[in-house]
Amino acid sequence: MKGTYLGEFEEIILLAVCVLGDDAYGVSITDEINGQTSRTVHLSGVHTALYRLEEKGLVSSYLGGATQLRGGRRKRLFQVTAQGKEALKEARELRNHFWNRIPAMVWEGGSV
Amino acid sequence: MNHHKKAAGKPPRLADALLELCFNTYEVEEIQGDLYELFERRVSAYGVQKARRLYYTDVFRFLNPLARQRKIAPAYPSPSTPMMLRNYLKITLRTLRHDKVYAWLGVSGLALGIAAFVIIVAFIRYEYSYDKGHEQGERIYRVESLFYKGNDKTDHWATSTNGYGPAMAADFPEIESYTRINWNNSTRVVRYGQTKFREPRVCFVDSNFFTFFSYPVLKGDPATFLNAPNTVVISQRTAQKYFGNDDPIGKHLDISTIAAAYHCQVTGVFKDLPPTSTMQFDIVMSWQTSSKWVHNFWYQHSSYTFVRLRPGTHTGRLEARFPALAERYKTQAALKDHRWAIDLVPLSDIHLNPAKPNEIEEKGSRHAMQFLLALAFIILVTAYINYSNLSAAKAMDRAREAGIRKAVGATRISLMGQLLFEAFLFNAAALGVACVLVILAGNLLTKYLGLPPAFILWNHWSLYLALTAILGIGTCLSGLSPALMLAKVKAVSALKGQYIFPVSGARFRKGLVVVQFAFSLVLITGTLVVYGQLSYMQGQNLGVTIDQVLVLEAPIKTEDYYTKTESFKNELKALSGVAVVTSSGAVPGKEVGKFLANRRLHAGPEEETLYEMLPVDYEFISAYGLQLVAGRNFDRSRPTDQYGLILNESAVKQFGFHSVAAAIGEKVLLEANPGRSNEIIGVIKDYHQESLEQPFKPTILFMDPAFRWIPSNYFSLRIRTGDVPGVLEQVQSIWNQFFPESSLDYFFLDEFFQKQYRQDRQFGRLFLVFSSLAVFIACLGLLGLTSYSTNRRKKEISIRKVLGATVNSILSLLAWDTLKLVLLAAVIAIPVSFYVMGKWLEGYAFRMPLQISHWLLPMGLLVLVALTTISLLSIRAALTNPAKTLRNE
Repeated sequence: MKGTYLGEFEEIILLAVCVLGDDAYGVSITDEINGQTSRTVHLSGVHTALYRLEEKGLVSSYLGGATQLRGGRRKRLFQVTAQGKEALKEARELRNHFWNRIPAMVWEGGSV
Repeated sequence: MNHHKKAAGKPPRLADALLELCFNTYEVEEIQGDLYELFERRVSAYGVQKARRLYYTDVFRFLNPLARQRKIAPAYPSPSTPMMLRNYLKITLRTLRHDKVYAWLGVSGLALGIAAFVIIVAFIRYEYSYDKGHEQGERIYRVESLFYKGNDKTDHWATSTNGYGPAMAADFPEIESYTRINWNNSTRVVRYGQTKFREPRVCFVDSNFFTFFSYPVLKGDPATFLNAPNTVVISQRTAQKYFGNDDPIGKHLDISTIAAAYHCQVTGVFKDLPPTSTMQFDIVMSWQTSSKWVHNFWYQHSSYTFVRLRPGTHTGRLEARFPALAERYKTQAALKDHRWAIDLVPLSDIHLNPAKPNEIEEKGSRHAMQFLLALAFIILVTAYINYSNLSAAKAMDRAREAGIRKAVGATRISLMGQLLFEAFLFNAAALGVACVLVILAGNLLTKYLGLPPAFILWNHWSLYLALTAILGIGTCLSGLSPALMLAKVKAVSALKGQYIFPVSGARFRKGLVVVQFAFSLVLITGTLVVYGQLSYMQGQNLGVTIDQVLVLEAPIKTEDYYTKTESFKNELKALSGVAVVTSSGAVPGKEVGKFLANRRLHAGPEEETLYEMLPVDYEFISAYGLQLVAGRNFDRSRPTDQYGLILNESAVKQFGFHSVAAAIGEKVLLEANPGRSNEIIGVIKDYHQESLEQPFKPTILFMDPAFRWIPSNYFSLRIRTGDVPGVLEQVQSIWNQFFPESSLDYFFLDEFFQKQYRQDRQFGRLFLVFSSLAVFIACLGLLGLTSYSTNRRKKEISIRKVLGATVNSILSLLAWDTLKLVLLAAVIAIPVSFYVMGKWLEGYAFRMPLQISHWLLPMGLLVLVALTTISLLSIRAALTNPAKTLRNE
């Protein structure tokens, strides 16, 4: 199923959205990823990915209230949809499935 | 964080603008929000500069085309553009219907301004279009003659001699080709059978004339039709005039002057010259027809020589080599000690250059064109100021509308768009009305102002380009200020009805009105000065009597010319209605135009200077009422008097005599007459031979038979009866006895003299038309402003009335506001017009002094007009019942 295929970066963003709960928007997601992983992502990349996820229906969004910060501009806050949760779960199961099938010897033997 | 620091630490505006350009509104908000947040954080981490740099980097990352834009429909849809335009249109029409005065003022003012602008600019374009369209015309130059004595330029003539062209072509390889046209005595009587007319411009031209220039030829071969002697080429209308519908080719015309007669075969017909040709001629004879000795003669500067230079020729360097060339050719005594030089004038510059001696064409004036161009822009700008003013004032009433629009989602951009759209509608309507006005005025004004018919080219792309430009620029300029004003409106306060527009706007609008008044004042002053100068010139004593003088043009060459003309004069004198008859080389109102280089008897040739030589007879001074200030008139009873000279005062000065009396009895050597000197027998007071634009010129009256080659072109008859037709009839019958082969052509001298002022009169009329227009437009502007300001001050006026102010005191309060504007305008306008009109007057040798009334009168007029304009509104405002205005409080 092409539509629900989840890329690695998308998966991380989706996870970050889950972690951040009610405060998932561009900057906080970028911070989260930059803080938790050793990679550097840019705001523009995050935005692009979020829009793509939204198109796929894996996240939904709404505009938050304006504050004096951010030049009075509103945040677009993201939430994971049921479909998104499903996709995450599927991805995880797929991995687990493979992990479980790795023979212990291959892993522990060190060299082949 | 204090306010100051915050302002300094803002993200770069340019980057924001880029974002706003590339993303739709819904995305921009969140993207910018995120970027701002990052920015604020970075400012405290790295400082403002680095934060700004990083901001740019981030923005550019967003502009990456691979970064996909959000495709999800925004939460609130915006109406489509056509829908909004329909709404704007509806609101515009409602506003107009609500305030018809505003609509009328706006459209009519603008339309008048645009129409005036279009007409003037079309006229200027016409004036600049002279002599364009010749093949490789940009390489054609007219050779004008310059004369230097030492380092002083003594003369600059438009003409050159017949010799310049061939000599230059032989020596200067830069000259690709040359052609000449000779204007000498070009008024000739042309006869075909019984059809005879005196034609003003019958010239000799080189055989290559019609291949050098691109005048369209209808019949004959332009390359060869002027090769043979006694051939002539005529214009289409001349062919029609003499030959009707017959084929003119092969027919013969008799072409004669006082001095010569030619019998020429018609070999070609050319298309009538366009009015935008500086040279106007209808009949041209081949160069070979003229006497052989003048073909390449190095004296008599009476031809135009045109040269076509090879591409890339430096005219200055070519001009510099001419004096050395001339040294080889100037063989005769005349002007020998002068350095002969040339000025190469581009063909298309000739029309607007200042007039030079010996120029035959009707000149335009580059000065006047610049003047008119300025006037055109002044009028257009005034009209736009007016409209901008009105719509800005009107926009203030619409703060509430702007507030509501903002509240329901309009952005600044869309609000500005609305106002610009309104401005566009207005401008388009005005442009439509203007086109109608241009068509109407184009017909009426051309007659009144003596402009060439059809100078507005409706089929020319440039007109439409200009109209489109006016529409575009006009829309932006006039719509922008109200648009900006409304875009700044704060929705909340506007809806509360408390929005107050910044005061600077009001001051700006007042400033605009002041500028309008200043323009109007300058224009009215200008009109007064132009007409003042005109009536000054017409009112001055000319020093010569020109009333009741009938002037006949001299007959053409016949046997025994001098005996015949003498008997003719005697027969005329015998007529009871004729007081005096005189013949002369020129009459007042016409430049003498014949020069000789003369010096005092014992002076060296280096002291030769040029004098206008006026051939006269014994009756000239009495016929024209000239005043002798020393010596005596020519006397028939003294045979030596025919070699005598009578000078005018200017000539006495130029010879260097210390008084008029000292000149009497002195001897003078006339040019090319070395064997004999001429005695000065009298001095006349300077009189105006030409219009008062020209200074008095050193002139010598003489009748020396050795100079008969300077022809007496005119017979002047002083008439002492009211029965002019009777006299004319008698003159005609005597004329037919003596000169049956000549046509009788006559004019009345006073009319002839006044013709010199035709251009000044036209200029004055032009000024009058456009200054009244400017004043009218300015008044519309004032009315607009006043209607606005009294509207705004309704409450104030009502409160004043409640507190006991009288109607009179309120009226004077409002009037004073207007008066202040007029006075301020005067402060600006007086120095400007003083300078400009002073410069204009400098073009006249005799000019009236500028007087204080030239400014007081226009000011008085403007005050009157301004007060009348506002009175309607202010009286209504002052009479309104205060309860009406105050009940809403």
